[in-house]
Amino acid sequence: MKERVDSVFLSQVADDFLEIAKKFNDYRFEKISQQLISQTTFVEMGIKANQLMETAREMKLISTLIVEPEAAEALQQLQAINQEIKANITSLKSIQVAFNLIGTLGELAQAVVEKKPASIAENIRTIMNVLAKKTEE
Amino acid sequence: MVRKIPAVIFLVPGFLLACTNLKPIQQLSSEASQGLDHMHELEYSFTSHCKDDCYFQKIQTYTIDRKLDCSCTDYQEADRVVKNLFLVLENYWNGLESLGSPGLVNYDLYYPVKGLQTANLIDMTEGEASAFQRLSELAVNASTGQYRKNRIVYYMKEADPHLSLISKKLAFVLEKNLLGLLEIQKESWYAYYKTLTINDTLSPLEKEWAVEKYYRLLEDSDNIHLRVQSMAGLLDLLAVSHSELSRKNQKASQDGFKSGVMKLSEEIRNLHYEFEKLNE
Repeated sequence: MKERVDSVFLSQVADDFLEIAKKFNDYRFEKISQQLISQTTFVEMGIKANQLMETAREMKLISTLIVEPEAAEALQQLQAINQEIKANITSLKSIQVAFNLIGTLGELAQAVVEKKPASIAENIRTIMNVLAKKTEE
Repeated sequence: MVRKIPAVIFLVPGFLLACTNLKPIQQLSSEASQGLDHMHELEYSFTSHCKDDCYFQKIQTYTIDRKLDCSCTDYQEADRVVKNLFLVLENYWNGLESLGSPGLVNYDLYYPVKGLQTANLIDMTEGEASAFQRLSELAVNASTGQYRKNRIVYYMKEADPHLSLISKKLAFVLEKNLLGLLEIQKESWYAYYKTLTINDTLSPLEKEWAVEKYYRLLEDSDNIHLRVQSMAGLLDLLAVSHSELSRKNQKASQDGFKSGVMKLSEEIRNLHYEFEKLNE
């Protein structure tokens, strides 16, 4: 019954991604209203948030059709990372860190749905680095 | 599916029916079948989500092609999963209905058999696949009369773990994945229409239009949400009550069984009423 658990798990990860995209949208709307970001940055951030949602969409589909057992470990790591991002995203002071975070998260999500283990590992490392920087800036 | 049968056939089995107290079962399964029928009124599916989103993408990018060309193959596949899970449940409840019905001899074997044939189209776990197959087989057995009369509880007991697994799977797919897609869609609308309201090149009237459009979309999606959620709720209710009925009771003639069946019938009828209100 392992796959079934994974199917539920993947659906939850997709929910996390949607929540992060929502918080990220809140973030960019707030920053533009305070004139802290340019129109270009605002649009680019929107594109990144949309990409993340697009991948969440694919995850919901895969969760309905089938989940590969080998995705389980990556999903567990992802869930822990997502919790941390959700808790911190709206308080990020550095726009650049926020930008990097949503970008890398989108790539990571894409690697999960495309089942590319090397790319998943690499993106998880990058996100860890971005999150580490968050506390410095 | 129970076909219409000549009235004369009712005469003898009608007497048997009175002796074996199968009426509550008939009532329950008929309520269940009616409840499950609302599945056809959801007005939302993986494919329709895909088309809605494709349409919205075109709006966002101001793209007009001669034909709305959307690639929805995977979404159609997901709908097939939903359909197959649903059919096997529908077959089971129809089988149960036929057990309590004098028209048993006329039970149509087409759908249960079809359910078995399409089982291999679905990617399911081993447990889910075997539940799917077992439930289909039980639906067929119901029609052979093997489980007739007092064996109805035994039949339900045997079917219960399979019914529970398939119902849960379908409820999960509807509630978490189909509605999950709707939630993603709602955020796309939010980001798009909110961006329009802060766009300095738009007039106040155009912004007003964007706000109105956004809230209309939200209202529609709330209705879809309620429908799908009610269906998932019905599936859970059917599975849980079926488990209780088959666990606690040894015979269909026991009082506990009868009152349990009546209670479940009533709860389904309430859900049925909620659905009717949504469709008004």
